[in-house]
Amino acid sequence: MTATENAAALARAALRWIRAALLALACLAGFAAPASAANYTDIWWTPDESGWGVTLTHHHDKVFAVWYIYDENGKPLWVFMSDGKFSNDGRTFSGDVHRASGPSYRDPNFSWSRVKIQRVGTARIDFGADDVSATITYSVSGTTVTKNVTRQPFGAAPANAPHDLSDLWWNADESGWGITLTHHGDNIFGVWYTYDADQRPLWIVLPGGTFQGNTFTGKLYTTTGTPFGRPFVAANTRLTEVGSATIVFQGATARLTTTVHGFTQTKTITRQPFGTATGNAPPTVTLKVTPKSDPPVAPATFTLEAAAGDSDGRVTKVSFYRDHEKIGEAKSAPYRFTVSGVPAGSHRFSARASDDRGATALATSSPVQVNKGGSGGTPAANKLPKVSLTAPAANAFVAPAASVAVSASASDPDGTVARVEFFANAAKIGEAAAPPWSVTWTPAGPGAWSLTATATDDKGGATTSAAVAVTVAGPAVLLDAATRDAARFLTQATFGMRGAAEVASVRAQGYEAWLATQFSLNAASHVQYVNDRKAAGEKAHEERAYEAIWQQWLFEPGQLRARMAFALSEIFVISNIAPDLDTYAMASYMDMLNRNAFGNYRQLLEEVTLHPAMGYYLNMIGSKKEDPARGTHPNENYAREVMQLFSIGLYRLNPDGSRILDGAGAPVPTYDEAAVKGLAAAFTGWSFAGNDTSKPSVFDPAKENWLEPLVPWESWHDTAPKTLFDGITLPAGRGARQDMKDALDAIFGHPNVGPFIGRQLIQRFVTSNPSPSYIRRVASVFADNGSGVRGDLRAVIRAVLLDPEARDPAKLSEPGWGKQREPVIRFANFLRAFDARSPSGRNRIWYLDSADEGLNQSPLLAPSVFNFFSPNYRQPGPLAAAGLVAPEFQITTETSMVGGLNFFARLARNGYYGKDDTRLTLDLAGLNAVAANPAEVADRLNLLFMNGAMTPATRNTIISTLGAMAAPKTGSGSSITDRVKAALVLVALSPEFVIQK
Amino acid sequence: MTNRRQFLKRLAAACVATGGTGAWADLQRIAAAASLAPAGPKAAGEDYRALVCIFLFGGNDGNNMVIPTSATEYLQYATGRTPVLALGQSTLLPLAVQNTPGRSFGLHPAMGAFQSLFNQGRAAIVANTGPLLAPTTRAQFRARSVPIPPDLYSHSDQQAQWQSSISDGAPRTGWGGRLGDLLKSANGANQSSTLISVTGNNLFEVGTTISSFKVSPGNLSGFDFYKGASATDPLSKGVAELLALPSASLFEGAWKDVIARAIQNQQLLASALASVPPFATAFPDTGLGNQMEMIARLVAVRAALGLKRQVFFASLGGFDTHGDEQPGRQAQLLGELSGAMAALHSATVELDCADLVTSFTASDFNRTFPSNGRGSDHAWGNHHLVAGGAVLGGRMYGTFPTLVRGGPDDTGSGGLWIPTTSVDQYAATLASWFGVGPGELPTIFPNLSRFPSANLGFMA
Repeated sequence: MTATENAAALARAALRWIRAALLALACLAGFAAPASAANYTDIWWTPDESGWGVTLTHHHDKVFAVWYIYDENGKPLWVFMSDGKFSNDGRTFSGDVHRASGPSYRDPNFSWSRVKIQRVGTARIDFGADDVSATITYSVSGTTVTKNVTRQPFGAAPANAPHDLSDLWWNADESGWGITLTHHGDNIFGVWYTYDADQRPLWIVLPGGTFQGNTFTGKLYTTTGTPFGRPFVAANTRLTEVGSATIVFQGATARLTTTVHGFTQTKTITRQPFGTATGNAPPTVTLKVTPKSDPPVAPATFTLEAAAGDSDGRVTKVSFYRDHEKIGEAKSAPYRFTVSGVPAGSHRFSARASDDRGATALATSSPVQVNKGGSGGTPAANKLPKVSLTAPAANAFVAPAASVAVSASASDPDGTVARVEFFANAAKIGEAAAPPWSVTWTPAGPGAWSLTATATDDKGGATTSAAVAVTVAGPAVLLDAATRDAARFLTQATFGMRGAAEVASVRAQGYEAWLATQFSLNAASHVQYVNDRKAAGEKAHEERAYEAIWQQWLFEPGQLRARMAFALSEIFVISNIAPDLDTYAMASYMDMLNRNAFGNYRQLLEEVTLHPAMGYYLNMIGSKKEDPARGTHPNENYAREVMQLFSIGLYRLNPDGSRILDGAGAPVPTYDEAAVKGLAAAFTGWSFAGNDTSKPSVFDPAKENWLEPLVPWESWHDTAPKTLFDGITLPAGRGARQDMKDALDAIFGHPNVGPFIGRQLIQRFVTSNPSPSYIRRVASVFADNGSGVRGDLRAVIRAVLLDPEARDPAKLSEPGWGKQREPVIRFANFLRAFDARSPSGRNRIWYLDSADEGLNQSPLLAPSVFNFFSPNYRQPGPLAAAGLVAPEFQITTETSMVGGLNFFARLARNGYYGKDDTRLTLDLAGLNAVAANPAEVADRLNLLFMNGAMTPATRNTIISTLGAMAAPKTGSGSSITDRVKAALVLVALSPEFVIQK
Repeated sequence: MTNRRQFLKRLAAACVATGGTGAWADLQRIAAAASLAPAGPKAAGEDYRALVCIFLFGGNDGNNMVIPTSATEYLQYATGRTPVLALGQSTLLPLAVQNTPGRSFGLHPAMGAFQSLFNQGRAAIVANTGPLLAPTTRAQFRARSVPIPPDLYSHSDQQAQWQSSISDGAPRTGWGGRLGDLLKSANGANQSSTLISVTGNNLFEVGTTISSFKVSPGNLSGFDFYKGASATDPLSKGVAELLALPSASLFEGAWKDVIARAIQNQQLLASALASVPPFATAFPDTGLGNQMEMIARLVAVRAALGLKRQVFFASLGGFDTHGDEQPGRQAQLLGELSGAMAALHSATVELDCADLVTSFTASDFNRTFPSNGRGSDHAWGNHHLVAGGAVLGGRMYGTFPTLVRGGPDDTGSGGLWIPTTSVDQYAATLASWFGVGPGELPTIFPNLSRFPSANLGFMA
């Protein structure tokens, strides 16, 4: 057998076992494991390591163990031992450990056949003589862990109530997930083991609750913690409340209703019988402990007397234990033993009865306190307990309405700690009767609080801890709806708002007035920028063209024009990735896009077509009429892409952007190869301006001129008739300019242009998945601006931004609404929000396109004419499953994520970008000044980066993160505080910033 | 239009027969896969297979990669490509093709490393391959009497058809992704490493239940502000807490999902790759060379990760040579391709797993046989390269076209070769070697049955 086959066989065996357990149900008389002391059913953990545990469900000769632990990422992991064997006279149980993956608990089609089980190791449990402690050794995927564990006491009444619900429960049709319940008195500790959305093991804990009749209700928590096999770190254990569970018990059946993150489902669960009954009823035993003197003083003497019996045989012996240690044995009644020399401290005594067929039962006393002997034999004075608060940290800053874990460390030098009470400003907030000494506190309000803990020992002595000061943040500053929408509008229409004042200004003047101003603002010339830098002695390298773009984005008031030109540069793409573009070609191309940003699409299309940068990029420059002698044909590159990408697309569209379908339900192509060839022919004969177009010989190569539109050489123009699309033809014998104009008119007149371009503009400014009616409204404005003009881009962008759908606040909560802010826009958002400036007033933002170190995006550096991303890109996973496109996610990969977020973290750490006199320094003085109050930091960032839509949970995270960092010293000057750096990192990766809604 | 309607009706019927390509078919396929045991070893030895797709973005001019060298055929080539594009006969690197009696071929002069691989029998050429919906002759194409793939000559669509091996519809999954869906269970706990891209997001590796994991060939450091799940510094805890918050927005969820995968990635790379000793093989310091080196390193840790089946995606861009940059650019790119494929093979020899790793090329399309005066434009059927120890190499598979404009392989007179081998056949041959059983092939390649052979025979 190969290793693979072997593993597969083991996995099949595990599955078989689960199924066999189901089938065995009918064969067994009693389903409930008897809750005798000889039964190991319980939740076990290491007392100092709260946060993980093992549940053992013990039926007859089998123990079903489930480890609730954490994987290498600190995420919940459960593994289980479903089958094994007792050895060592019933004191050792060992078997194989398996790991499962399966359908998410949210998956409506759970089936055991979809559960995959894999053997990952072995386990061995050595139970202590007292039945209360055990040593567990288990291995998972090569990591072996040994832990000393004990049963965990909880619940108000004694354990082993008559109707013990402790068991392994699952749905008989859905083996593979289940819930282990440990029932002590009036409480239940449950752990639900299931799978997350990635089919990975997930456990959700129900650490307690309340009974009402046969209904038990409690809260559910997910946890993270220390990876198994690593040294336990208490602070790693984190509980997140995720919902609640209700279990309605009805005999061996129950109805389990869970609500997790708002997702509710109800499943029937049953107790799962397994194991083989031995047919032997275990013996019974009780224990009576009598001290020789009362109170007992060390060295103390006790008489232990057991009453033992066996219903189907005889008792063969009774063994006696002090704590974990066997101290004596009696083989016949009366079963009595006297122990002397018992030292001071708390002790338990136990008696284990064995019957003639090997079954045992255990009885354990309550703790017995033995006092220290004084010199005169009188009891020593009680020593007071010690107590100190371990959480929260001193001077912690906590979020409002947060659940704050208040924990104490308590001990008693001469006895035990009976309880620890907790106080906030002298008002009691709760108490714990057993370790971990911890309560959850929800502060009643903001401001300064003083926390203390008071420990009381078993003799009534009490100590109060030193006080810990805590500041509770106030509630979020609520922004009115109009302010939030003004911020949202600026996010959609600019490279980022500059502060609250700008938001207030837009809110006050209204969007129409703001738009009117924006339409009137022109952009500074990028060509002039290059010329100025040349005049200043710099080389006209390509970096100058990028600098000009960022100058416009960061500093010019005409933000909407800047955004529009950038959006157009992502539709009418040129790129310096390949082939190399001239600096002036790029600068004058951006000038052309700026000039036409609010003009007419037809004019824009012609200027794009004749721009030397585009002519060079898509090879219209020098394209010649067909030459049968040389066997050459006109260059098809521009002809194809101008239709596919810049205007009409591949398929005929309805005005709402949906595809027109033919009778068979298939999309209808807009054009065919003949149209590509026809258009290629129509575009022949063009090259650089400034040459003598009457001379065929200077056509190719012509002297370069990157600033003026291309001009035609009629000698190289194809004058044959050309077929375009939809039956449109260009007649023979026309000149190059006439053919070009006629061809562009034909494209411009195509009904696709409005929805095709309109949808992409909506995607660039507002949302990735506009509704069909939104597209239709924008397309209708493209078709007619209200004055009978087609192609008015000013009217189109106004329609995009003011559409009811763009402004609808209800959209904010729709799962499919919004878009990822483009990486370069996020960068601009940061620079503008903090008014980044350089000594020279210039920037040196050049190449941001590295996925490893940059943003995987940089203006004019798209990988191809298909832009950085496709308007139709689908991100695999829930987005694609919902039928949604997510263009920007095409450049969002596991690797670009690292590069991009490190980029922002670097910006936050440094507080600047660039160097020398072009270093852009962020003005973080305002944030630094309020860093002592993390809530105020969060509230400022909320407006600047999240349009006022920061969720309370995110706010709390920012507050608690900053609050856990040292408070800045007053007068720390201009250096950025760690709190501000951390806040900016959190904003840079926070979904509410990155996803624009 | 009548033809188109008939075609679509036939298509609809075909979808019923094969289960089509939609969600229903995906479910069927996954259901079938759930009952499928992990593919066993074909022969004694290690049960591991890796496929390495090298996508040549932009449309490689295959006409100048594999060139006939017999007198008649070279003359046809030179006639069609002179004066702009033709390569001189003496510059071509001779190929010792074992199975084309009477016909001889040479390689582009920049491809010396691949020439050696081919002549050592470690590499093969699959001629005139491309997206097809049925075997198609020139007459059938011109009469549109058989279904023709939509959007021929469009970069984005032809890339999608190559990567999905579904040329009739809007593919949502790639064939690499579907292989992953089927066989990922063989990879045990590390199923997320089944599909790995060293070059970014792509359709090829999108499956229904898994998609690709991106690994950077360069920067292996992780987040510099986040120290891991067990870190106790406030920022690391804050980052973890923020990422654990619920999001109703699918976009927000997708964003956090990528971050979570990046963290996973960080751990995979840190733990596994640290142990890989340097290769004796000198990988060319090129973009593709670096990608191949990262793939070789990932292959080297397969045992540590418990992996049995892996699909890698690498790429090289810049092949869209419409302009007069074509000769220089293509020489540079083909040199890069040739060197990188040879280095990967050499590294797998070092790792003693050469017969377990197969690399192959794909590309948008071939380019027009005649020039547009400077470079060449978009065309169709193209030649592709397959390399690895399991390749029955030194041979040419498929049918090399007749290089005559208006000839039997031309769509019209523009020198756009109609493929004589379909992407489905090319991909299915690789998939069969990868461990997909005959019964599973139709679910991964729904149109495969339209072609006479499901296996071109180039894999051992």
